[in-house]
Amino acid sequence: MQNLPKVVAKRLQSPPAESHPDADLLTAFAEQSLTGVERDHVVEHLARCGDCREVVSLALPPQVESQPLTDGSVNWFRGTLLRGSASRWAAVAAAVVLIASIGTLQFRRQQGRELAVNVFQAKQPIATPAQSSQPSSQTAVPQAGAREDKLAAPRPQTDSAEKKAARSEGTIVLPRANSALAMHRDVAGVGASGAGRGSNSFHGSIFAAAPQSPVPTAVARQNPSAAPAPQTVVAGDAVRTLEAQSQTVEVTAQSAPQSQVQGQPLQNETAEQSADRVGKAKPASAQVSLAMAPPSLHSEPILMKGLPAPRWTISASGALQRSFDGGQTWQDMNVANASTASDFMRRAKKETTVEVAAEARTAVTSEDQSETAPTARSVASVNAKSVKRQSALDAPLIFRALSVSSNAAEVWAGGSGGTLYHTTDAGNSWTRVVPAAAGSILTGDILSIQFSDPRNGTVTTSTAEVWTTPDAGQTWHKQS
Amino acid sequence: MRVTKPISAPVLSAVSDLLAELHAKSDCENIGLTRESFSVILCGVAAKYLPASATHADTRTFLLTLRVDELALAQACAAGSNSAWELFLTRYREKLYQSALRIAREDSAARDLADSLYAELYGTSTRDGERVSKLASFTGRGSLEGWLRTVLAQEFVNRYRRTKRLVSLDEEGEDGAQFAAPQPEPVPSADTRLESATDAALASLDGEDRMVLAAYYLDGRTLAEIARMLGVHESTISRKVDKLAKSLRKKILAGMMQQGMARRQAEEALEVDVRDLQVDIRRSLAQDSPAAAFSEKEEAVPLRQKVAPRAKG
Repeated sequence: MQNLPKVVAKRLQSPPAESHPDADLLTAFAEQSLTGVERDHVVEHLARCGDCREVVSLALPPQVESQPLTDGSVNWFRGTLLRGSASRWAAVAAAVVLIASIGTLQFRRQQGRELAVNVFQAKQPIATPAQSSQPSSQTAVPQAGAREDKLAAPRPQTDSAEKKAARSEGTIVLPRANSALAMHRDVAGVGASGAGRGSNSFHGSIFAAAPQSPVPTAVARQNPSAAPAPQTVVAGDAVRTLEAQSQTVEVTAQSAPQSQVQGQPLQNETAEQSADRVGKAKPASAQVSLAMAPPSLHSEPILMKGLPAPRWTISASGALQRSFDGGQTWQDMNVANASTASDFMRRAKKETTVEVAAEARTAVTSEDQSETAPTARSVASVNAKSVKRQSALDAPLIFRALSVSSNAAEVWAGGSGGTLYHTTDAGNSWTRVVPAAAGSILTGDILSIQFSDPRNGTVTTSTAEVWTTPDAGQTWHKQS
Repeated sequence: MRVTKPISAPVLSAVSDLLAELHAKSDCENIGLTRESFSVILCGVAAKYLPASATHADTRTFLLTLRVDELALAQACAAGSNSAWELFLTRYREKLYQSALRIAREDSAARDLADSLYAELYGTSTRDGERVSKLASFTGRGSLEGWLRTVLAQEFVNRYRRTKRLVSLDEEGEDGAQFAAPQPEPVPSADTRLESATDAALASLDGEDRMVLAAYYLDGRTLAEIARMLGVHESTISRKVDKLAKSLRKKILAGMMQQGMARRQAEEALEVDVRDLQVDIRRSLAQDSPAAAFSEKEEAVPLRQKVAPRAKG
């Protein structure tokens, strides 16, 4: 470290201020909960007052509570992985494999995202012809379920069971659509116009990795009704083709054989599309079984079984850490990796919602084709925004606030740049939450998080905003 | 909470807005703190820290950042609620001794330190026949546990200073002998220019930078300790100290040259100065405060008055 001229040391010793900050302010400073002018005053005083620096230093919490990340992780690493030379090499090999597989997965997701953006952009010119072709298909082929038809008008040729199926799809599956569904809708939009059919299976394979447990079960319940759905779909309606397909892929995500079974009736239905469809279904299931494996690497649910309630802390470097041995060793939580998936899911959901809303609008204004172009544009802009937000996520996360439930399983952690993560399973999976209300988004550094119960919480930011949620982060209200 | 400042209308309205929520959150009912007395406490805290110009929204934000549950507990203890005191003992008794041990680093001194704080917390100091607890001065800006550590540390530093003064009179000769040798005090000819350039360079830094420099070079704190004080990573402080020392050097040189010194002359002045710096670091620690350190708490004054003559004797 550089030597400092003596005169600097001498001049640094300016006379201390007349009165010291009280113990409350010094405590708040040491706990990083002072902001703005108040913090500046305390820091200014500390710069000049050796006694108060001494007090702050002496009063720091025990090292265990805010142990720098390296100590705990190194101990853990040594204790568990590096016993004996054989296991050392095994550990290194395992680490390499792990990194490689995560890297591959990330790369695939990235590719998928880029492709999705391309498709969105491509959709704009193509969507209009697809829409305009609907009235003709309605008249020519009575089964053809145009969008309006699907939402409101009864179909003369389908029997009651099929109607029920169609309705349940429209009402239940669609709003809960995950990324797979959203992407398939777009891809099929392209496919219907005759371009890019081959990309269907590719999309299916990538996005089928995304479904979380609630979504596939919902789809599974729809299975009996979903099976006949292709009958009404295949006749030529672009939108319904997409939905049927995405369902096939989702079911595949749950169990591969099921999709094969589902593929069979499809073949019987229409000759022209069945070959195409089976071709898609198979690669989808193959890819899905591959893609389904990696998420378990992130979530490590098996490791967690039988372990005591964890303890949580934020290290001096702003990393979120978890300990299962009462604070002896600390494990770094990598919320960013987990969040990439969940954030992406969230984004896909948002897009789907936008689409659904836009679709409803089209249904209401029925023949007004001019609606289609703005819809496509709005979807594209939403997508562009989310891509931008994704890149903002790449900045290093510094956590500053933590709220842990009494059983330590539900945790909220917040920090720099409005970063807010939530877990309900002791950190196995994290969801990034972006509080937004009345057109504004929480962007300041989060300084404190307080949840009086699992649903009601308050988040305070460095920009002196206070955000509250009455429903565990589903909706937010901003007070400033 | 003694209210010393008049309470403004925005503070009153914000407190009444949030009172129900905060009262429920702080579990006041179980520790015998009525809604009215809690309202007075909140007004007092807000009036103490917020500027007179604070708006309703400022006050709201401020109140929501308070640790109201711990504030309520401390204030209920100060008000003499037995259930609150029991709860306080259950939660903090052990922690208090542990913290004292960590601060004093020696068992008997730690017990002494913790016991004297206990006395203050319980409120043995009587003034006008009134028992005043030090807990009454807790305002919930930080955690109660952190506050207890800070109060212990303040008491420890006060004692240390007192002891140091007493000892230094007795052992002055010996200390002087130890420190006398490396005190050549070269006093370079361009001293005033060096000092004014240094002052200007230091003034150009912000408070946090000067704090880091003082903690590292004057107090001899480790990078890790400074990092923990500021809630950042050690490497950040390491980079910062290095960068600051380099840039200070440059600025001082530039300052001296601006005042008409040749570059070589300025560098020499600085070099001479650096050579005997390391010897004097510990002495530089003597950035002592006036005797009445940490005495802004009026509740604590009587006790200190009682203790002071004994220390002298």
